[in-house]
Amino acid sequence: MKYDADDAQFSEWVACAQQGDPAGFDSLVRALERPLAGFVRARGAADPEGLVNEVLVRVFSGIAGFDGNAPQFRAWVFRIARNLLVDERRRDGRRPHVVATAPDMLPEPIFSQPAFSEPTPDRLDESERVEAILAQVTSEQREVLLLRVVAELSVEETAEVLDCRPGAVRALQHRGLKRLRQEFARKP
Amino acid sequence: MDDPDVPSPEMRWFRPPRDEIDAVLGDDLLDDDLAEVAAIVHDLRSAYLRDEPVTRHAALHAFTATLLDDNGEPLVTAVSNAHGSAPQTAGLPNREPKRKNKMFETVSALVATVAGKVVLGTAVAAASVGGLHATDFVDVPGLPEQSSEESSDQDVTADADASQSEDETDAADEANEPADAATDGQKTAEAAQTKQEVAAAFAADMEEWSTCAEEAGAAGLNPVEECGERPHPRDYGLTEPPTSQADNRGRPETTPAPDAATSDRGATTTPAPDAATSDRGATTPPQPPAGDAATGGTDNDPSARGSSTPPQPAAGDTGGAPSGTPTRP
Repeated sequence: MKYDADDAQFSEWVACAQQGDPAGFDSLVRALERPLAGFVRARGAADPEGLVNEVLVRVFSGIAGFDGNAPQFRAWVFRIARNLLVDERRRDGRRPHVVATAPDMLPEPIFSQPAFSEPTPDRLDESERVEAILAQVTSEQREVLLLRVVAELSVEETAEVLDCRPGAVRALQHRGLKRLRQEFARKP
Repeated sequence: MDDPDVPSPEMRWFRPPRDEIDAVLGDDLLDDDLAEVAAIVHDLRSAYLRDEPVTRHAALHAFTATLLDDNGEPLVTAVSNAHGSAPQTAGLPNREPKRKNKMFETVSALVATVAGKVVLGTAVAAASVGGLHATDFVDVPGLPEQSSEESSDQDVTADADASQSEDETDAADEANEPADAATDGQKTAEAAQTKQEVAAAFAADMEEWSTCAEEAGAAGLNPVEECGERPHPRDYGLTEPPTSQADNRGRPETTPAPDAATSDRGATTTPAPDAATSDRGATTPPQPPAGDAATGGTDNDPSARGSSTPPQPAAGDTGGAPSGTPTRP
């Protein structure tokens, strides 16, 4: 596993959080916030930081009733994040889209220094490039790759999040990587 | 896998596939064929993963911050409902059913039926009539009198009055009228007063006879011949000489003499004195009926007895005997 903490330590944090220990909550937040934010950001969340907070609040609100090991806990957390992303896309699909036709029509930034770091131009270029590469794979392959690479979940955990078998996850992953290799070979 | 019976080309299918992403993320010794995968993983992670921690909102901070109350307990726990009420699993709270009064249930069941209404109405009507009868607003013949004690007292007094009437008047006539005397309390009081007056008259006659006898004795005459026979209580209907009555003549008497009452009670058992053997009975007019006692004869008039006016002389009475003095045959 790629997480800094092993499964035993993860399980200990979960147990502490279930008993209401703030230290357990804090350790889980520190271990989950980075891959969670990367996953929701890669899935195109409008407010990745707010969504991460909502996911963690939901997790901690129901952690008393959780019964499982560390991989199952991580899968449970990312399943909640995935469901919230689906809900957000459904809400956005019902909203009318406003297209800015001129630069003066863009809203002014409220804060000069936003709390969450905005992508720098280099990073923006890199993100656009990765987005362009990921656009070449299907949504299922893309989701598997993001859960495997960004969320750092195992095949079994990814299969639990997506509610499918691990073999299907491996197949999607293999096809996705094969497609990305072709794109990298074409665009050096 | 190591089975020599399995051909080598088929063993490739049963070999667990090597996960490329796990190899790249696990910092394994990468082969050349994984260089492209490592580049892809690096691009993806560098594009979406940031090193800055996520800003924790207030709701999330409530879980992770160590907020302690005055007792040292954390203010917010994982199972708290700070972010919304917990789902209600048990439904509405069970409330203990209110204990009903069985008496009210019984009464309600009784009133709900027609027979119950009839019984209840009858009971209310009977209670109302009984209350009105008790307060003398309505006279119900079948119900008893208001006070049985008063009735018994009135009966005893009526008997006494009846016996006294037998003493002073014709017993046969008076025996036929007990009901009127028994129901009249005023006559009872007057009868007791008459008894006292009789006793006072006897005392006065006795005193008068004593004076006469002393004078006759001083003159050397026979007291019996001069003053007549000594008055006897029996002639007045008294069984004992009312010695105390003579002393108490001038005092107002509020209660009848006990011996008089005793004589009254005994009058019912002892035979009444014969009116024919009494001189007084000859001079006394017949006792008027009970209803006329208040306005009755002069014999019962206390003023006539208590005053100095002598009684009316008898028709055959002669000599110096004081008028009204009874004479023995």
